Amino acid sequence: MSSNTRVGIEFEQPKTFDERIEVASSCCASLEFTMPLVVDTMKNRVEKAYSAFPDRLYIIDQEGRVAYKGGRGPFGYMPRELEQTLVMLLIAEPPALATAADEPVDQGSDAEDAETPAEPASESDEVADDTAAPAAE
Amino acid sequence: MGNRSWNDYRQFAAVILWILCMTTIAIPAQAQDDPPASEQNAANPVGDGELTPEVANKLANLLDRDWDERPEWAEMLVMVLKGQTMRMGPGTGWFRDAQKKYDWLWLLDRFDINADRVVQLAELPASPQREFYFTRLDLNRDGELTGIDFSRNSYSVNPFAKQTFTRLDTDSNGRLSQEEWQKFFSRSDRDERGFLTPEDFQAAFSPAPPRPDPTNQPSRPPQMPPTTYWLNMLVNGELGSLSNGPNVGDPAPDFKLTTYQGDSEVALSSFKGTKPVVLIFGSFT
Repeated sequence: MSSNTRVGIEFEQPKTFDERIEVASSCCASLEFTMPLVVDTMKNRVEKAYSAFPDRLYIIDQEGRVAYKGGRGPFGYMPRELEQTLVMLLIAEPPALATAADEPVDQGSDAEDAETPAEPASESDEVADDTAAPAAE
Repeated sequence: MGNRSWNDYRQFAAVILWILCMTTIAIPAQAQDDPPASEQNAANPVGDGELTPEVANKLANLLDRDWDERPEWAEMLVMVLKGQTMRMGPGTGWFRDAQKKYDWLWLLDRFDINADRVVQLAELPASPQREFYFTRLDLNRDGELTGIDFSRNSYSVNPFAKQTFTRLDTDSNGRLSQEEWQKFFSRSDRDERGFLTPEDFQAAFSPAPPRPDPTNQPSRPPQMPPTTYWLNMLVNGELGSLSNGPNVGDPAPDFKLTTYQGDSEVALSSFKGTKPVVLIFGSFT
């Protein structure tokens, strides 16, 4: 991916779990992540369960059911659409907890790219900025 | 010898005749076993094992005609067989629209009190977050929520803006810093005049002409990979996951994975009853 190579990010396709961790670490460092990032098993069990390759966005509601299923990536990977749906979900189903903020949980088969929605403000938290990722090439 | 009767011969002759009949019948059959080469191809159109466009198209048409309720991977199979992989994009094959529990029509139905197909800030339920929610819904920032805010155009940055941004975002972290902005200015202001003309601006975005490489072969037009290449990609999951994933309303498959730092475990089910969870699946390579 030329946008990666341009800034010296070049990885061999990871073949071991440790190699994946390395990619994930580099990703979080470069993109200054603030949310949890978890790494899938080498059998890609979770990616398969969610049909998530190459990238995909979901919202899970408080009952543990899917409330938003993004179109397949790269074309369907639209954080702003995700965010709107999240806002409507929060309006329709105010969360049980005192704060209205929700924590996005990142999950990468290798690691994570930078495109994240803004987190809605809780009564005390600040709004996080959107970060726009370079387009997948 | 002299005493041999004709009967003997007749018997012999009859036998002979019979054999001849057998032989006569056998010869045409034998001729069918070994036809000339041109006849052989006519009888065996699949040829020697390659997937021809004709066969691929026929297969695609059969699938289209007889397999309505097909899995997502089959949508891609049809695209690949029809040679349409270059047309991959939103709305084609398995690249479908998102599924949403709540959408624009729901919002209108719930909050468009005066039924003018516009949702105003005041029509949203009063809460400390109301203004914040409103701004995150109002994608075109016109102060109103309309269908436009929920259209595909609003979800992605236009190609020009995207291209320009990528050019300027030299460390590719998705953020255009002031430093990057100023560096762009400096390198575009080749004569160091302290300003850019329209020509400077254009030059900044035009790629330099490629230098002729003396060792290079004369360039040929790039060849389209054959159908079998795409089929390979498809079944190896490289065009996308072969599974469909849960739909809106389905229970989300639970998982328990460790953070990349290795210090804690995250179980999806632990959030149940607390707040919604956003899952961002991606890769960094």
